[in-house]
Amino acid sequence: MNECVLVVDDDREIVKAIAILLRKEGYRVLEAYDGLKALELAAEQSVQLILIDVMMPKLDGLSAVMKIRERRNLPIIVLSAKSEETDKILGLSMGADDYVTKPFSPQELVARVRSQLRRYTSLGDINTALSSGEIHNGRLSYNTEERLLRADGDPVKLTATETKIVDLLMRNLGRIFPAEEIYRRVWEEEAFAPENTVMVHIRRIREKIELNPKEPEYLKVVWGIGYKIEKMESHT
Amino acid sequence: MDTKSKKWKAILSFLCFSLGVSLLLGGAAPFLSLALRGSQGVQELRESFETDYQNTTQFRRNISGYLEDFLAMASGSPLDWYGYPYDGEYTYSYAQESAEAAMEGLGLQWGWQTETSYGVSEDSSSGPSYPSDEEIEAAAKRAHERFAKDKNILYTISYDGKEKYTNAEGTGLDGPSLAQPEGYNFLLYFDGKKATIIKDGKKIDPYGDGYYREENDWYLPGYNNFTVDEKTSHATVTIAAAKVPMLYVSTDNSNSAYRSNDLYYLARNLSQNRQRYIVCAFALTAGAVFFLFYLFSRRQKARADRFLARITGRVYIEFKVLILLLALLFALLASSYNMRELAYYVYNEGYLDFWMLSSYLQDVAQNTGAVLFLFWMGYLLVNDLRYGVHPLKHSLLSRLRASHRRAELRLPFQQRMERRLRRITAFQVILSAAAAVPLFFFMIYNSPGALVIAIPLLLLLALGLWALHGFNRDCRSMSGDVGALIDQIGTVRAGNLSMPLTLPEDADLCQAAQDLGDIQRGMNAALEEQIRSERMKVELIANVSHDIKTPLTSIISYVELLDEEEDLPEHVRDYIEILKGKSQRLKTMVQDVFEVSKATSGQLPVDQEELDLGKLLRQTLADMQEQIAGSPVQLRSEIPEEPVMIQADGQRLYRVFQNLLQNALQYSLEGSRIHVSLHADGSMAVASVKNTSKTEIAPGVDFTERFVRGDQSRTDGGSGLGLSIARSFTEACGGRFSVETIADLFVVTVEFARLPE
Repeated sequence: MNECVLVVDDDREIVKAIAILLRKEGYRVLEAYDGLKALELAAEQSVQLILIDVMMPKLDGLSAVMKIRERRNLPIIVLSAKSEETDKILGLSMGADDYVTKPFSPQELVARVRSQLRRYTSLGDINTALSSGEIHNGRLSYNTEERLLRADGDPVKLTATETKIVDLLMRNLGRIFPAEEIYRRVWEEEAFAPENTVMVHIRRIREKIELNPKEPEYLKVVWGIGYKIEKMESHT
Repeated sequence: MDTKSKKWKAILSFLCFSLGVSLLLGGAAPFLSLALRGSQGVQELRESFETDYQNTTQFRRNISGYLEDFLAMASGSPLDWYGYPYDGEYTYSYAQESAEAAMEGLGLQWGWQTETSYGVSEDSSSGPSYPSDEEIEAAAKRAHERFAKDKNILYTISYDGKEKYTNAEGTGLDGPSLAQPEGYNFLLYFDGKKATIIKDGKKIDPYGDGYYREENDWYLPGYNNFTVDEKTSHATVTIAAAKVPMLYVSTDNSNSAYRSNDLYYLARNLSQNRQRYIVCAFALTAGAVFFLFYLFSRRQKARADRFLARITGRVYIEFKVLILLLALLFALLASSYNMRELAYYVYNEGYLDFWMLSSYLQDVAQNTGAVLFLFWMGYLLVNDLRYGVHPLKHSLLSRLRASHRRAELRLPFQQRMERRLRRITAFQVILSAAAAVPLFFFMIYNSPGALVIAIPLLLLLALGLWALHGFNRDCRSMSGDVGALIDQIGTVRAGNLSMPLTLPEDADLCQAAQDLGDIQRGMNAALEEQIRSERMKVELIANVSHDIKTPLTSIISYVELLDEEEDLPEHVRDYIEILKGKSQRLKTMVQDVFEVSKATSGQLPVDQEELDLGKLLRQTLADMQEQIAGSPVQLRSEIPEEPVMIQADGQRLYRVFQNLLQNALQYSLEGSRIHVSLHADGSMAVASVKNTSKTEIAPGVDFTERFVRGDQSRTDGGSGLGLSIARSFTEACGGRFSVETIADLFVVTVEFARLPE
């Protein structure tokens, strides 16, 4: 335990607040207020995760991410006030593992930190040991034989119906299933107005697997068409 | 019923008019020709109704003619018209002769041999020579042969008591005893001085008071002032005329089979004329009656005229005029009195006298068919001009012009002008040549010395052509410039504002091109300014929202930390809850403002895909079912099962309906119902959300206004930008968004074009 998290932001109050939140969760926290300092600390100290703001004096966050990535392979979460899709893609392509827009909810941030650390510390092994019947997709992994879904390595407790839905969607990552088809395959009967039923289950699954169920990253609604689990591109 | 009777009245009226006019015109022709002849005409008309042909002027004139010829034959004088080398002098009429005689104050001498009559001829070098006695004798014999076979006239010609010629052998014709053969009821006996006439056994005195006047019936020698000469006084002539003239035909070897038959034709013409006059009089009367009927109903005729005009209106005006001209030509040429003769006369005599013209017109008037045809063609034309719709515009020429114009308009402006210039130039050259060539030839043929004038004239012509060439060149270059200007206007219209048109400094339209360039630059500047300010606005909002987000992050974080504090008094916890709610709302608001500003400036990225709007609505309702279930209102949806496919960004459209539903849930009257419906309206998919407002909807508020500032009553809870987002996102996806309020009913309609299935 006691992983060390480096928090970088030019707004000292934000750094302080994040530090308090993370320390409560039992992490060690290093604080920095500009990019150069962050580079320094990342080189000197044993840091397991970096939370870094984009717009900062001396060296901006994205440049710092690039520099750190040159030497170290550790989870980096970018914090930014820019909420545009293009900004997110830019941040991720620079080597960030996650992108959290300000203003964030503290719980979500903590959940993301935990998720990233778990994957970094423990999932690395699972990734290497490819057992048969395992489907990996970002934070999620699914064992088709055991019919077990794991998020960040932790087994997710699903009901029988939810498992059937997850089984269907995980086996067909990225494919969009209309509610009628999900209903027919899971409940094995013809559907009449299945939208509500399916949606209820989708929402429950989200609560269990998504970091922010209101803005799901994996289990998505394709509006006007159906539902899918997003296929994540692994960047390692 | 009423219109039908009107129609019949119109037809009837028109029939009366056409019959009346036709009959009047046809019937009037012979009377018109009579009227043109004046008193002569009146006499002719009167005599036409004589049952006895012998009571006519023409008969008396014929008898006088016979007597004249027979006397000449008896006395051995030359016959003017027969067997004599004719020299164009025979138009010399009795009337003229007598008039001349009267003027000279001399008593009229009967006969042809008088020296004075031919004196004039002898004076001229080419005049006829006086015929010899043998020639006269031979001519008299030929005349006898000709007369003898026509038994309508029986005659005995004696000289000095000796019978010279007769065709009355065995008929019992005897002059001195005044004995008439059977079937001959008219007898004239000339005893050498005077004539005795017996008709139907009664003696007629032709001489009256013994003096000859022009109006006298009988033109015979024997008056006190109309005597025969010494030579002729030895002759006696007896003439008898048949009561009923017959047509005599003989088949001897000599020239003609028909004999002269003068009297037969006289009688026949008389009866024919009579019949014609009667028929014409009938026609006139009937015509007058019809015309009278027409006059009473002439108002109704206008309807028929308009109908006619509608029919004739379809014919090109050129054809109408052509037909009228042909009718006129036909009428003029169809006359037996040929136009050529008239022209020949005019050419020879140098003028057209009234007599000639009137007789020609009489002749034309006789041709009833041609006159009627001419009249009706003229009538149709006038009627067409009067009632037709733009009769002059419906012409082949204007038709050709229009089609030519249409074809021309398809060409670009430059080519159009080029063609026109070419046409004008060609005409100009042709006209100059037409003027110059005859002038040139005239000068050469008339006086070679005129070349002195011709050369400067030719030089002038060359100068003119050179100037013309220059003018054409200028026109062409200008039309090129105008074309370029027009093209440039089209380019500007199409949105190209960067490339200005430059014309040479000395071009006529240089200034116009510059002005257009200025307009272009101005528009470009305005557009760039607009784009820049639009971009600046978005940037400003982006910066502002970014600047707000950073402190907001702290606020949210520390409120969270505060919330995690234990042992806080209850009222502090309430405060923290309020802070939590408001900071969350501020967060959404900042995000929404940013997105609305992007959407309204057209910078919102949209990911258009084919989707089922019905499914999207059902998903949205399913997504919000907890919220709906937890609200005090009920939801009624009417969404068809079959797909309603549209092209849109699903994520954005979800936001649209999410906002609309949230609005509806938030502002609906408790216990009321929200209606969500979708239906396909032709090629459109129309989705609507209807709810009953909790509060009274202020009239005159434009809920669709961008950057909702008038939406004051709806700012509690949510970002207050719900409708703004819904509207701008719908439009960003290519849909149509409208808000309608009916009393307290709030209706939002979202429309998209349906995709073909």
